[in-house]
Amino acid sequence: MLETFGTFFASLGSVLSWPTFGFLLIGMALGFLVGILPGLGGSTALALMLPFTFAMDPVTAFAFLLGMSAVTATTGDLTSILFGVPGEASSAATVLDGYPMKKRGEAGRAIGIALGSSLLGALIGSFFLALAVQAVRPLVLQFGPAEFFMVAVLALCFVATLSGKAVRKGLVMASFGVLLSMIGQDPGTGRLRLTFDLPYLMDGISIVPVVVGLFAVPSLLEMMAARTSAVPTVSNDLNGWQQGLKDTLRHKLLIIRCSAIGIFLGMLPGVGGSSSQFIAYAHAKQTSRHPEEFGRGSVEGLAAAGSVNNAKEGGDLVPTLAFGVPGSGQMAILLSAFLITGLTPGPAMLTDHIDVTFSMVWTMVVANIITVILCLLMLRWIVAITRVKVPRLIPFLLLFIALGAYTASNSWYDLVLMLVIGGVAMIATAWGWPLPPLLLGLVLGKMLEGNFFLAYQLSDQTYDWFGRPLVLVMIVLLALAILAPVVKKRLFNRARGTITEHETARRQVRYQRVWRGRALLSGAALLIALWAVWHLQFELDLSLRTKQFPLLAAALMAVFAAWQLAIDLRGRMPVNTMRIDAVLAEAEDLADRPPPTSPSGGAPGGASRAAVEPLAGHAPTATLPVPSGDDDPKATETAPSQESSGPGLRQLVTPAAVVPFLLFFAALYAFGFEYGAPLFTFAYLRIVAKERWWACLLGAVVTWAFLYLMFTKLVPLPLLESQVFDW
Amino acid sequence: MISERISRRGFVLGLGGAALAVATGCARENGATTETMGADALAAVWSGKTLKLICSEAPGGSLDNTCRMLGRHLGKHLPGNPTVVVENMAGGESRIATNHVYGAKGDGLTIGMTDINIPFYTLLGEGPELGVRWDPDKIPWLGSTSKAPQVLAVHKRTGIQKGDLAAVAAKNLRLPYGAVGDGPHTGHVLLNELLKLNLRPIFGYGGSSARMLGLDRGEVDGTVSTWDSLLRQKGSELADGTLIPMVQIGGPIDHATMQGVPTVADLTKDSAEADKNLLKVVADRYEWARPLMAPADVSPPVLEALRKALADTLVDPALLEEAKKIGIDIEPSTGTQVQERIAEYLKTPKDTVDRLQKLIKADGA
Repeated sequence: MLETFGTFFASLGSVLSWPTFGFLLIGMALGFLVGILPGLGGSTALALMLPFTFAMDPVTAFAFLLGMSAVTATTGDLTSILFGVPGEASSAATVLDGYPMKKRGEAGRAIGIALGSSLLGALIGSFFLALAVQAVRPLVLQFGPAEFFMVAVLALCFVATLSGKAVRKGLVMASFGVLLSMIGQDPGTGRLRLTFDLPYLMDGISIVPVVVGLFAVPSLLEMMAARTSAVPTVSNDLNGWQQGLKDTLRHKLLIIRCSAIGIFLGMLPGVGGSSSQFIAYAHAKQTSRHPEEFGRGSVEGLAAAGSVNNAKEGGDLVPTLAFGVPGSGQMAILLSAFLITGLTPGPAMLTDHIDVTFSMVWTMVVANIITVILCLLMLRWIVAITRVKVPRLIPFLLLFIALGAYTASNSWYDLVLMLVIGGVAMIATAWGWPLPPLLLGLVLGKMLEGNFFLAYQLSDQTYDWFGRPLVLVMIVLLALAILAPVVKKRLFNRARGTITEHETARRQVRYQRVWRGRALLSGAALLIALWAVWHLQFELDLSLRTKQFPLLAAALMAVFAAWQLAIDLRGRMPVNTMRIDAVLAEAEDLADRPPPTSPSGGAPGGASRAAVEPLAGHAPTATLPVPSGDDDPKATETAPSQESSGPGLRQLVTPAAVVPFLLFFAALYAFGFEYGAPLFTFAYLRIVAKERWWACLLGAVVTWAFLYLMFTKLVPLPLLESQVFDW
Repeated sequence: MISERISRRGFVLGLGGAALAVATGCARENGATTETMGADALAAVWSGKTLKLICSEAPGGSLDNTCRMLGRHLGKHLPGNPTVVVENMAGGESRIATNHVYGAKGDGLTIGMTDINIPFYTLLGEGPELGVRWDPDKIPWLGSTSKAPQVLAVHKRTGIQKGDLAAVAAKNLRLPYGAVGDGPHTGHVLLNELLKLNLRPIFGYGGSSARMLGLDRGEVDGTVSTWDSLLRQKGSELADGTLIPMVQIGGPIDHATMQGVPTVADLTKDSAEADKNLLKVVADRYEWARPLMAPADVSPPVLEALRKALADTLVDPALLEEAKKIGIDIEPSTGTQVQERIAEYLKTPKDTVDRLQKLIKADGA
């Protein structure tokens, strides 16, 4: 025990040592930027920055990555307050009270509350992690293959449940993700399947290009299509933050309760950041003596929302560390960082690598403290960043995306995979298909299959292992998980009394006609699934064991896709997909306020969409200037009402977006990163952003210098060379 | 090479074909090599340049660690002191990296660390259709950094005493493996066949740490592992007698805990020639663990300089100290040694290879 204590404090030393601390600061700087830009989110940033950890030791790598994600949760709150635009999906609830406070001239106070409660939440979450790690230690060796199989099933079910109204679509996506994860070797026999004789596919699909394709590609295209400032300007009344900090302390008990909710939900795999934020928010209102203030600038509401998303990080890390089960999208990406640094998540993180675990705790503590201090010091500057014209950022964001995908296995195919997935993501998002289930399916597929066969072999080719006590416990949990949405709805309804009726009225089933063309996607999914079944069963000569799981995934995907297809072909859907969660409906003034338009008055539709959506890391969500009330998958269902009348996909796939986007990758193919990227930067800044010559040149030089310094000097990583020229 | 690259030009939108061909041609002009080189000419090969060390494994594994460590020291032993950059090119069980290095320009700026199995694939009769696009006899080997003998160790809860192989044979011990026919499982098959043991494989444990975890949880009774990873992960269990080493494949290993542990070679010295061949086809590979190669068309003076630099690097005290710190075993072989051993290995009779393949398949079923 004492020894553990020593290690705990020694880990603070290693976080503060050089160069770890330097990388923590770099990570934080990036997180700062990413959190503030509504175009990029925590998981995107993590995915992009993952390759930079290749040359780092574990403590440094996690200081870098966790430092980044810790900051995004806080800075995402800032844009929620200042612009009513959540910089992060998990900062959506912050809009509810933060934005009204800002509107009545209390921006400084609101920021003070957000920062104060974020810090408190983070501290509570971090120290919980340190304690939990001790408590779960004895438990962990009880988790064998049978239990891990059940954990994976459980996690997968949470995702499906959390697809909200789009459950069917979520199931298609999840089974597609599992199917993708089956590409490559069967984890037991080493036999190949679904590789189409491409050596690139022999080791399976790597997660990073998929993540980048799913989340970053659509966001970027959207920004490129909008071509105007990402956020509207606001007044800069930023004083009064001291009052905000005082408010925070006044409500410390509430913050502790909300942090506990965040931690608990964080520990449950698959519970998204925004749903925990709304549950905590609902709880705060339920227990408040002034519930009527909620949604009109309530201090308590803001404090609840601010604390929960930071506390959740600590909870998220518990299953990630102890079981290798990612609690969220960000954690799924963090999980790959373990593999890169050569660590295996699981019991070893609590024994041999306990120092790394503790260093994570300290990283979160240190990063959050620094963030708050920096935010306060740089308040004015922060506001300035958000006013950078989007076209100026595009070339650099494109480069980040390409680097993020490419460095997964240093192959051109990484970029191809990212582009294909990006295409799927855009169509899926536009038509209300949730993306996170695909990612989770991809992450959990191998875990399901590998552990299933291990458990089966270990109990002498029987299914006796379903009787193991922890397995039984998880079967019960599974049943509860399926019931959870019902319970959650109750929770909301109790908190929201009157609004419930309002919502019920909205839910009166009325149908509206939607474009039958959406059947294209479900039809394509069905075809892919059927083809996979045929290919596995008849084209390849595989043992039952090798084809069993991919076949199962493909068959399930076929069933769900066929079901969805039938519905799409009917060509109508209930109007109540306009559903905005009860909590949000109360913030009527939000819905009433005019959609934020860009100062330069560019394409109105595109601009407001880009401005409004908590893009990054999650699917673009609501089309109204109101964040969705729950996890994004549900929210994507709100899109149809607008998208049926035109925009959606057409807003992303404009010539202004797609042509430069594809030209960028053509430039990389033709000239490699080192020359292609600066060349594109120059051309884009000149032609699209219409910058002066010297500015374009500067942009190109900065791009080249970044590549050179980062990949030749700082973190040696060879970049894609020209595929055409042999220089 | 040229034509392959040019043919991909079609993907690039709207670029002038003629201009391209000219540019490509020009770019090729300055790659001259000569058969003999003076010290200055050799220094010019690397001076101010970047040497790419292709690593056939993903970041994080011990092969990758060895590569990165080598990358930190190799530059100072080469004429002209180039910057060395490690590039991970994992996939296809080292086939992708081997193909890449084999076909790369032999200008001394690309080398690679690949896998012990490279000549084995050829013995198995794998060709281009399975991604084997090299001739193992024509690979210019630079040397290897390690040896990789395997060890069968059992947990003390089995009640088996050290040296009691009969007790091992009497039990149906369960052992963890990644996939059918991987390195440790091949050793397992060999033990069953030559020593008449009844070891039972459980497949699907990911890497070596997953296999050790299975051992900790009590799911399996022991392990067949590469010595250095066994020592790194279970050193204390070996020392305190929780894990009992029973037999070594390859070796003998020079370590206190391995005193008195027989090698398979000892145990089969009176066996038939066919059995000895079977042992050779499995265990000879351990002699060139973590081998380094140059592109097929590397010029002799450059190859010699690379071989010498590698040999010097592998006795560099700074590298050895680092290796000790991160737990990497350095037992170098020279390029010539590796070249000769592999040439010899490729002469393995076909029936021996067939027998091994049949055994692996039967055990995996």
